[in-house]
Amino acid sequence: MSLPGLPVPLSPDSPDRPGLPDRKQDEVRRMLAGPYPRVPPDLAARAAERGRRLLARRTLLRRLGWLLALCALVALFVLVTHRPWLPPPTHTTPPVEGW
Amino acid sequence: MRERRPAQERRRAREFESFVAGAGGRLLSAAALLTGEPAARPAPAAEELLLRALSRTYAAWDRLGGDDPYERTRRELAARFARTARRHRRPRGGPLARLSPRERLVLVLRLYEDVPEELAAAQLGLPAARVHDLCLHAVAELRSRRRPEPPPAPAPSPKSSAP
Repeated sequence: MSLPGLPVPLSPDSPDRPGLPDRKQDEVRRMLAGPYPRVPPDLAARAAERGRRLLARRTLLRRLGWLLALCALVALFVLVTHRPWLPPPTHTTPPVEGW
Repeated sequence: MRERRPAQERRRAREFESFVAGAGGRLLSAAALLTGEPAARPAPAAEELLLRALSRTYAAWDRLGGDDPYERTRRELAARFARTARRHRRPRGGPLARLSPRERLVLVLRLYEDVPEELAAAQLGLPAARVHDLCLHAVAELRSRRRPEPPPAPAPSPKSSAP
């Protein structure tokens, strides 16, 4: 029934097996295909406004992320150059021993 | 680059508006089926759902890259509905009001939007067999609700109705 090159569809609602499920599903399809509800005239404008706010928030978050990364980099640089974990240089001469 | 931004925004707004003008009715109808609201009256829950899905489509508009905005919005709609399904359990009088939110989602994707079973399963994170079962169950449920009893033919002779 199916062409040799084509994969055989497995779902029962495929056109290859027009059967009971297909007819039932068509009936439900007709049930679902009622009239469309009225679309509010300002829906697109409201959605666009919301979308712009979403974009602005994402941009802000991205910038904050970059700022944070920059701060981390600066902190790392300062730590590496100043090495605060080393003891501070001593200003007194150590006692001389052994002579 | 910075001077071009308002022009780009205007173009995006224009394209988006014509997209909503064309597809808004069908999308709102699908959303109303999902939330279980009747199409004849205003459907606030469906409008809210669609508004959120559309705003995400708008935010992704420049990065759609050949993707169909209708499919994108439908995906957002389905994902958002799946996340907030608990809010839509209460029947609201629509044609699918008696079904569970998940059955409604599967039915709308499969029969209203004609999404292939595998794709619907992938979008919902369910096995394809489960989607198939849910769809069959929802169809059976709807048909049984619609015609609770097949009208018995008037049997003139009791002999013919005996097994």
